[in-house]
Amino acid sequence: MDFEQTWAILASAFTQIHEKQASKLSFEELYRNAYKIVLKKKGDELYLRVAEFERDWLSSEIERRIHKELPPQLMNALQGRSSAGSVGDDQVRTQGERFLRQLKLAWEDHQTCMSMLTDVLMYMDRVYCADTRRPSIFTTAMSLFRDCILRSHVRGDDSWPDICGTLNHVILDQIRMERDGDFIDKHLIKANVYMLEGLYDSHHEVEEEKLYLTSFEYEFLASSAEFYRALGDRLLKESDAGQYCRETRKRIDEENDRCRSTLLESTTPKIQKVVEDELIRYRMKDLIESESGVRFMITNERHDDLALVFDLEARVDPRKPELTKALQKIILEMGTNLNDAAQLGAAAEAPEDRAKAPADKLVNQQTVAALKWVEDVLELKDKFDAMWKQSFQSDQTIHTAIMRSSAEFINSHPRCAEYMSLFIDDNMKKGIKGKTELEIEALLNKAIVLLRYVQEKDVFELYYKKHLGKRLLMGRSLSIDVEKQMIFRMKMELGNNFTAKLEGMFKDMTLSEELTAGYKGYVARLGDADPRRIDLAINVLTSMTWPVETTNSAPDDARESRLKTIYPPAMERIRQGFENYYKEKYSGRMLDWKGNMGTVDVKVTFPKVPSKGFKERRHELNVSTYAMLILLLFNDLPSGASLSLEEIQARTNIPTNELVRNLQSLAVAPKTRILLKEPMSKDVKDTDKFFFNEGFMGKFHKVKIGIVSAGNRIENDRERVETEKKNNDSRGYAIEAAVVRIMKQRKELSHQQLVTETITQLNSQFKPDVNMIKKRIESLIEREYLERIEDSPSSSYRYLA
Amino acid sequence: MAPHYEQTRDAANAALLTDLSTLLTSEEHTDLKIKLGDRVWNVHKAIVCARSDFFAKACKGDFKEAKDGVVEIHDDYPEVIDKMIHYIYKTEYSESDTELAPVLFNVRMVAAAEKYFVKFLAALAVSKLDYFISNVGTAWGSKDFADAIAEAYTTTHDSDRELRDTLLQMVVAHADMLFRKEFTEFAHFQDMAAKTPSFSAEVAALLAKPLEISPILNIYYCPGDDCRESFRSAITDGQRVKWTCDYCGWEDEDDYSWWQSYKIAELPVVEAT
Repeated sequence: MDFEQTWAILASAFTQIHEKQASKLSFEELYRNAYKIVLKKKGDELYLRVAEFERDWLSSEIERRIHKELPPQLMNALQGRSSAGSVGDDQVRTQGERFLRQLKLAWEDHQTCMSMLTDVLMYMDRVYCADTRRPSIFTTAMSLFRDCILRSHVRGDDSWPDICGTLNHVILDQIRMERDGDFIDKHLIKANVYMLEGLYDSHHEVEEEKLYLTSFEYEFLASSAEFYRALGDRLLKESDAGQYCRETRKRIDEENDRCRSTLLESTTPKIQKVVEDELIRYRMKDLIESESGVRFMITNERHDDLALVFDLEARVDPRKPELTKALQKIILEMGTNLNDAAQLGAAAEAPEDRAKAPADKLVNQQTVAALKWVEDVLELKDKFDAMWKQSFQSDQTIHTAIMRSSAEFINSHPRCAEYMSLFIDDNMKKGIKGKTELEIEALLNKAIVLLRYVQEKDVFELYYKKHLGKRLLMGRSLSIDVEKQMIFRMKMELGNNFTAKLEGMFKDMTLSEELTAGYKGYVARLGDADPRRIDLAINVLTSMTWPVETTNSAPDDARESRLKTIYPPAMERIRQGFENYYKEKYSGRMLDWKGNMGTVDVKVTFPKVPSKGFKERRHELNVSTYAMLILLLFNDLPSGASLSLEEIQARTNIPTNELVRNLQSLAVAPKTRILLKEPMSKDVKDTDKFFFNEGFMGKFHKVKIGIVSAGNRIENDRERVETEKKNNDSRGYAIEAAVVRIMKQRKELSHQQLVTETITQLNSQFKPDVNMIKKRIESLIEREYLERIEDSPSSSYRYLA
Repeated sequence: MAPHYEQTRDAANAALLTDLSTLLTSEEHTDLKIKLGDRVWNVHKAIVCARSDFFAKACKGDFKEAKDGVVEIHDDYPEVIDKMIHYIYKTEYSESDTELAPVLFNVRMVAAAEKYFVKFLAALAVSKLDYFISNVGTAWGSKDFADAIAEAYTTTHDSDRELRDTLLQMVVAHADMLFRKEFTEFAHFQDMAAKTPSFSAEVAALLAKPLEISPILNIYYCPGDDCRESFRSAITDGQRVKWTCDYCGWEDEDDYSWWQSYKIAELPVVEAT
């Protein structure tokens, strides 16, 4: 066998294969010749000859075909693209496509031919290459394509990029056109991408060295970053934030599609990151804070746009820091506005109107402002809740942010606890009238949600007790059922401790009803069926459960309160009667009668006043117990006689401030002037004289004589100072109790740890003041509950059992 | 007793083989002709291409064979090709009805199996050969045996160790007779040995006096990039070996298990007699 002769047969056949004229060739003949060469141990030579043959073919014929498609003006256009596009897009595009088509063709031909050659050379591949560990001839031929074609320079000019670089430029140029809205031949690009994917940077065929990665993808990502940076600049300047978001979404989707249809899917996450970086991550702050940003969207209820902002930021950071920050800022601002408005509503009219408007009216205005504040807070909360569901996919991070900022502005209102309690009070008295069960349910829920925000739960409890007490005693609650539901909810939310006393109040009310009924029966059984007997309805209140102001008289009258109120004999009899009955049932209990809390229906006959043409009139007056005592004094007085304030006080022992208040409602309030005062003025002085007003004329048979400040309304300054003082006292006790509890368990503890644990324990009730904790610790040391540990590095305490 | 489904399966397998050989003899549905000289086999592309990579490649693509449905082969022995085709359909062949000595026939079968890439055929032929020369006491001394060796060393490739080792084993066992010039009955063999140097070289290597401690000398190739230099080493488990490549300058030291990934071949252990 002659090698050269055999090779000549093969070489001529290979040429025909490359020229696509293989159909006359016999596979067997070619195979047999190659087989014989290898069998004669000339595999090495055959291998080299084939490689040489391919090299020649590629660098003459194929290279010529490719280079022909790269005229100088295309090369210049591709190079000069960044500075000035002198050649028309259309021409560049057509020429580029022709180049892509030619390259695609060359690559596909090369693969087809080499696959045929590989078949013919199967024996060489399997025997010679395997024995000598050479790469298969196919692999070698692919590398040759890379070296001879992709690494060649057009017309041998090194100043221009090689074919591979040119290919990148052409593809990137086409992608640029598509990004600008043109249609391009995606399949054509994809075919070339597959070529880059099939070739490696060197003969080490490792995944990371695919030409697609080393040559193309890097440039694609870099040029994309540049493109989107510029686009971001432009969009921020020219579009509003909503448009920006929509455009960004569109661009991300487009890049995904492009990877699928034109490039490779493995690029998807990388290009996404580029777009996300350029259009979202680096821009989010500017976008959110722009004029048409989140504030604008919230004000104008652009829920879809907000959802887009959320969606975009969530892509780059699950914590959504910019959106969260913006939301918090906006909520805080809106909340602070509400707080300011409430303060303005409560205070603005006060100074100038004080002279004219009665104090009552002012207080009412303030109460209205307080209620409005709560309503506004609820509305704000609803707005953001709706937004949270609609636009923010009920996201946990956003929820926390909304909660936090809401809590912050609500608690920054110094009287939030009082306002919330007033709000519930108002609803219990009026709000729930005519509402369905479902609506009431929603209302209760709202109240509880608000309550959750209030930090000073103890202050709230104080007010709630006070307001609830008045509602219960004055029968102002529309539904005890709803009241109980509210308590139940508070119990679920804040625990047993919080509601124990409130529940006690309800228990007292029930017991009192039983007592009243029981007493009625008791009296009936006594057989003392006095037709003029006075009906008695009684409420027995446990002194520790109810708010102090209901069970105690005003504290500044400490001396007077110890004096026993003098009841007229008829009343005294009933009082004794009930006390006897009560002591029979519960021995060893002290009953303390509260004249300031009760009301009495009094039948009054006003005589004829001929001078005014008045007939005799009968009225049923509903007055406070104290007012009744005052009125009864006038029963024994001849017509036209008067009593001074001092005289009244001497005969009744009513505490001064209560007396003044009752006299004001009896003698000053224009519609219920049962008494006349001399001199006629608003203030009540010790020396004033009071007459029975025989000329009283009421429109209705029944007249209710309210007592100033009887209803639940906002506290005045003096009352608030009192409430604060009371609250501080009870906080002091709570702190001491917590400290003792902790120390009893831990025996020894450093100061810092003790303070931290105390704060943790009390957190659900209120946020304790560190200074207060310090003072309480000092006090406990003085009282020898604790002692300082002398030689300890940090200040520490020991529990003294 | 084998489970029922196994019996069923065995029966089905047997039926499949019977059906396939019926296809061969009936020549039904054939779509490919294999020609050798004036002999023609009508066969089925689906079966032949599945069993032989050569026919698979010949029948695909743009070549003449694919279009004509005829594969004309050359330089082969008709009776060997006939048995090869039998094997393709039946997974076995019988050499008893050939005129050729079994030893020669089977060497030619190995060559055909390698040329046409028929799966497992070479292994079957080698084991038939081995069976024959081991069981026919005088086979090693025959003229056919010498001819078979000559053909084996020219028509199969070097890396086919199985065939060569089978033959060498027999030669080495009787070397003291076969190579002795006084025994003129082996002149034909000695003549063949003189004309087939690669065979003689391998015999000589095997006959060389064994080392005192007979180590297993393995062949390793250089781990250096692209370097195909090889060397031999008797490294065993637990040892380390340092090697410097004369060719590419690569140098490193590592343990036995590391070197195993660079091992090319394990030499047969020669029993010291």
